[in-house]
Amino acid sequence: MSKGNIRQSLLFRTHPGFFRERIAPLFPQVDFRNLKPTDLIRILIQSLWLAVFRTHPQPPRPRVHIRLWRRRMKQWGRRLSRAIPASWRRRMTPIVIRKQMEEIARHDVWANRPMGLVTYLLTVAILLIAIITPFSLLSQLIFMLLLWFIALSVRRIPGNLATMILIVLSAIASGRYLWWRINYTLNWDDMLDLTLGFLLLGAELFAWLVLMLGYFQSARPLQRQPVKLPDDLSQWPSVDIFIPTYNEPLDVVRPTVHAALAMDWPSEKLNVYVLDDGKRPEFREFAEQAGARYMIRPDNSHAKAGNLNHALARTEGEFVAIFDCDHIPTRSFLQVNMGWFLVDPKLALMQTPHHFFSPDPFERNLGNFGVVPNENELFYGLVQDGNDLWNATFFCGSCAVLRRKPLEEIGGIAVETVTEDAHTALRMHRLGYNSAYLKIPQAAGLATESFSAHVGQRIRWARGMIQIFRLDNPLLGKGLSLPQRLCYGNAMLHFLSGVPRLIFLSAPLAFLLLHSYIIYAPALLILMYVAPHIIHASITNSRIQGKYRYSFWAEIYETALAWYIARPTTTALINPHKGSFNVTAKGGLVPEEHFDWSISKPFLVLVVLNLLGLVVGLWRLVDGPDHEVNTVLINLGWGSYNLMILGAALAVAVEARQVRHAHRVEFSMPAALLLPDERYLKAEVRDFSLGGMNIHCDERSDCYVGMPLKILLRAGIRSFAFPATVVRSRGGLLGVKFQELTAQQEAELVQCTFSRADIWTGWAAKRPLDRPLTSLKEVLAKGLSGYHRLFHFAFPRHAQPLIGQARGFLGYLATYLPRQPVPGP
Amino acid sequence: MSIKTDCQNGDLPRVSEDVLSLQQSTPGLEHYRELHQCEEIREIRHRWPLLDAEPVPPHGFLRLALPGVHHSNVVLVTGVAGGAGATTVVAGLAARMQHSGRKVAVVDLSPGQDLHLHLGNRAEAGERGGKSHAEKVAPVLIRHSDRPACQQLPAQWLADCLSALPRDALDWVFIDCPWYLESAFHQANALAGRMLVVATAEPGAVHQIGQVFGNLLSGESPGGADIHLLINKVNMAIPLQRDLHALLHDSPPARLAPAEIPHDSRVANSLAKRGTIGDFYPDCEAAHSFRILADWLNESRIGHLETGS
Repeated sequence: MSKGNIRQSLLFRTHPGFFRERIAPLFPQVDFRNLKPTDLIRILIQSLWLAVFRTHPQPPRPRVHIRLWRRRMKQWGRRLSRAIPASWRRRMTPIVIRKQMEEIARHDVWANRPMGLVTYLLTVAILLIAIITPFSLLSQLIFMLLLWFIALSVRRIPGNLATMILIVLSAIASGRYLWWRINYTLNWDDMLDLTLGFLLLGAELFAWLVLMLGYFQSARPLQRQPVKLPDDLSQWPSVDIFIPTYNEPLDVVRPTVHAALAMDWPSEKLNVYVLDDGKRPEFREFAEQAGARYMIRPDNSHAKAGNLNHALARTEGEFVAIFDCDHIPTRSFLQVNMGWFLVDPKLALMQTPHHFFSPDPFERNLGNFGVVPNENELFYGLVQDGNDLWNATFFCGSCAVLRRKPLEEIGGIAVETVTEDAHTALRMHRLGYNSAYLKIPQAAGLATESFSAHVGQRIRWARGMIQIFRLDNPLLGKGLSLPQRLCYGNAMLHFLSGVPRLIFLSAPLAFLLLHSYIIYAPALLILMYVAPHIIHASITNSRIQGKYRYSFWAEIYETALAWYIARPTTTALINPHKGSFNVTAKGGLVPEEHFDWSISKPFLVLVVLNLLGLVVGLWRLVDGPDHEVNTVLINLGWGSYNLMILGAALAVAVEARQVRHAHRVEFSMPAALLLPDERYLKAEVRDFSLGGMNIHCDERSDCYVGMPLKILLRAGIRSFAFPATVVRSRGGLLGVKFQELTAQQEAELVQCTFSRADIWTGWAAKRPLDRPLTSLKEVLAKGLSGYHRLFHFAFPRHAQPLIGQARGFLGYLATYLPRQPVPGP
Repeated sequence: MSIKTDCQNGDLPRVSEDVLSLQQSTPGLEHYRELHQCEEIREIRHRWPLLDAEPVPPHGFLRLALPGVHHSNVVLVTGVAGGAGATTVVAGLAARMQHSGRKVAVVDLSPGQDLHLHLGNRAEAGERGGKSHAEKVAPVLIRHSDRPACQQLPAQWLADCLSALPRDALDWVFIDCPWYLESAFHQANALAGRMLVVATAEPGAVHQIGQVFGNLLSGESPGGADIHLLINKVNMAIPLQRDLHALLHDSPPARLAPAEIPHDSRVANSLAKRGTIGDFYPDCEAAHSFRILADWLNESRIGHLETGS
């Protein structure tokens, strides 16, 4: 008998691999082949833990739970549906319900004016009753659960009527909340409570107003489509294209001019003007050589508006198309847009979306370019389209066509404010002219290059809009319809959101730090009212805006700007004549990742305050009176949420590296490579810029780095060859850089790429639908990453090893922790 | 340009692909006008005045298309000018067809009589009567013993040759015959159901296209051969070729074949290696073009060769 066998038979009667297969997996943190003295402690701890808790690796339970739960739900559903007659069941699919809803909406009853009026009045009456009836806690709970149930069952049904139902539900929930807030939750006995309470209530009323106006504005986007132009080319009107520039580099302006010249419009009716306020000779030389006209003026009064007005007085095209110097139009821009002008002689403005092919600071610094809709998309995807229904689309300064006659009637582009565009549109609307919006991206440009530049741009917009609000208030004065007034009013209100946002960010501190009851009500009751308000607003907004803005992202966008627009808007509200025009910097570089301390100061203050509030709150949770526990908990939750949002704002202040001179545009198009030995390879462009391309080619192995080649691209029936050099061959892609292109070749390259009619159409198609909870998780994760980065940059480089050591030590301590056994082989 | 401009565009899409894709995503743009492109075409015509020269009046070397039974599987390939690459196209198509398992005969009526060089090993195997499968389906090469340029082809020579082939044994017959060999071309034209006119995007060829199509199309009877223009050896890196290519697409003298063959040094390399491009570089774009052409022919084929009729 061998030694091993003896051991087996005497001690355990085990098979040879027993230890390796059964025992070792129970101690995943211990390496039994290389035992250390401290492993004894680990084994001890783990054994104790195993003795107390389960010893076998378990399959992930909760999922099974959920699956089981779902299956049961389905079974119940089936049982329930069997109880319903088959003829009814057939009627209950979303599509059928939608059809029925549409039938109701189309019913002749609505055409009958008195009948419609009665219905509206009835609806308003019911709404009012639903809002102001006081409920007990239980009835409020039941009522809100009912509303919630309706909302959940309606929100998947396509069609406009379902949206309207959601809006009404949200209006009821929010209305009830505010009614309750105004009537029952102000502590009139305590001055501090009352003051702070009024501040919060004011902010909430503002948010409510913006929410309701937002519903009004975006409930029913018009979704206008292009109109056919006459067959006879001689009936097509003449168009002047203005490209104002001031201090942008020539590289930014060149593609715009090339693309403008390549538009599909009769050449004798198309004039491209470069309006150079920088008065640079190289611009003149370039414009003349490219075939555009060059114009300067003696002074620079009134910045862009003055520049445009100067050109307006010296040209005579029937229409004027205006492009910021970085907005490269597609060749189809005019044919898409001009049809409506010929159909509607009162149409003065046609606006198209501003599309950006470079990431804006949010996208770049949060790393979500192309994944999450950017800040602009809500406005150009939904708000402007919604405005169009009410004939209230306004001019956005670029990518738009204006009719000369009305423009001259109002005395050219408005110069009184720093947002000349919206003011111009407002004046044309006052004269009874129409505006229109086509939601087809037909031009694209560069987003602002840094967060501070972005803030600067938004300060200008905010100040300008408030200036208009003061100087030429759309709510007053003549010529506008009520919906137009509301749409303009909402656009301006939107920029006043700075102060309310700051109030929301610091509201929990009132209770946590100052012990002030700003909402003077029991915690449970608050929850019962505020939760439906928030939930319904989220559901409804997710349905209306989901394609253009994911839920909760607005929090980040608005928080990041809140402090900076709060001051100028307040100033402009008091003194509208202060402030000047600043040009938004574009096309710049960020050589190294860094934290923008100066711009994040206000966030840091808020973070410190909120942290302090949390600490005090936790202390009060332990040490405070029992009846306050719920209130403290609610405020702690609110405070932590604020901290997360502030963290995301901090993350935006970490400027990611940006070293590309020309931004890459991801787009697939066929191409071919012509090698120096005259071999012809088929290829596909994956992304491009005017500096180079990434190309997929099956015969990539034939190309070495440094190889000169020619890239063949097509534009319509024409083909062009561009000399280039291979700069890298990696990951299935061939990176090429264009060699010195002649001016002619550069224009051709623009025609093959940026000028393509379909270049911006498929942009958002790949994005998934909005999922509020996922989105919330992501927003919170961005908040956490903000703190992580803050920590990283707060400690200068020589402190880095310290962090590393601390991490290492914590990691070492973690090896002592008991852990789940690994599943056996 | 001395070509017929009122002919239909045929296989050419009406608008460019980018406009097409915009139209698909956006209703209301069905009448898009590609004006900038039109202007450039006008400029190109202005830039190369030769192409706008008056067409040479027909000399009568091509009489009206002969009445005859046009077999849909007989393809006449003729070069617009010498060196356009008709022989290469015949060899490439034959090789491709053979590769996909079709039985092919090729008729070499070119003055150079060099088709067998293109077919290389393949033709020799065919002549030897090889044993393996690949060799069994090797193309049957038909040549006139004398150089056709020197001598009038006997009447009915081609029809007799084809009827001598076993009935139903052949899927495709490719005839390589230049249009200026009058008697041979007439015989081929009377039999072929399809004619591929091979042209290069070079000034001489483009000028000739006008002559050739002026003759071919004016004489086209309803039952005549189905004529397509195949553009060969396009080198877009050369501005003149690029312009001519755009012109040919803008106002094609005949319907365009679904693919064109790019200029690729590997086509010539393959000939030097005694084979076709598909043999040595099956993945390259030129081989791909032959594949597209062969598939196109196969799809459009209506019936089998009825020998003897």
